[in-house]
Amino acid sequence: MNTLIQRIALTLVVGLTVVVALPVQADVVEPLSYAENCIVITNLNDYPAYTFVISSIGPYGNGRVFENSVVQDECFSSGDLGADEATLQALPNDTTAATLTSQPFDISHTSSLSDTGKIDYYTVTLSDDELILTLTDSERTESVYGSEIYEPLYSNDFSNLLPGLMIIGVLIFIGIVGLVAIIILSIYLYRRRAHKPHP
Amino acid sequence: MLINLIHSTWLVTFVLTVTIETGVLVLVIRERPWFVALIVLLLNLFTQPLATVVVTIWPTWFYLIELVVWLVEGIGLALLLEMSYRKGWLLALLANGLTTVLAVLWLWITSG
Repeated sequence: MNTLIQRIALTLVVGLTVVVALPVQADVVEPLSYAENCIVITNLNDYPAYTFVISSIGPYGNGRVFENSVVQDECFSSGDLGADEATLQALPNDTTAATLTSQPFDISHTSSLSDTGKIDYYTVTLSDDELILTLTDSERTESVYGSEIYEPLYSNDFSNLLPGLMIIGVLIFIGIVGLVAIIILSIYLYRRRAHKPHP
Repeated sequence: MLINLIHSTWLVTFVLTVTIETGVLVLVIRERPWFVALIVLLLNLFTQPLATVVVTIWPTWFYLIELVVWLVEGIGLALLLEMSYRKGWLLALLANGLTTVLAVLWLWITSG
């Protein structure tokens, strides 16, 4: 039984190593691709009334805001974003105006293009009720429209952060409950073993 | 969007992880299946929410967190199932390795 477990464990170790090493290897083979693997947001200076925020979707599918207070042309590395999808928000500096959010745009898409030595540009355009990202490279132009208006992720009164903090609090609470349950079970098992008559 | 994503994915991930890890360990240990299932449930109840919180804050620490989860669950299995630490870590590697590989493969597949 032990040998079987060891063999399966070894197979998993090799499998995990390959899974972890593959992306690392890609960086080693093409070191330049990392620098080119970049989303360049242009024309942000044309919209001084807005603050632009990149948020992305990472492992486990959780959302994460990586950049804030972007007020001029910026280059975001998809490696820094650590995700395949991202959205761009335009937060109005005047809080009475609407917040505009793009539909998710595909970062892995830009990665695959940059592997061939190209850089993608996302041109930001704001209209009355939507934010438009236009992807441009030498081969094609695509537009991503964000007609839905979400509540801003950041706000001056922080009230919008409360639901997120509550969920994180609930998860931490569940973790603590699990730990307490393990401790109680351990004590119970320890006492039962202690009272078990020795042969 | 952030809130909805955490809501929608965590419970599914948790149930899948507990189910797969329980299945693997019951198949290997072949003794007291309900007790093994309880241990797996409690260990994941402890590790997974906290791991999710850490991954949410630092997504690039995914593999490091998986390593810590493996170590903690190995110790838990050894203590609660009365086995050596070596065997506990091997079993934890078996169960967590499988779920991690499945998670990474799923991310690959869904990310195209």
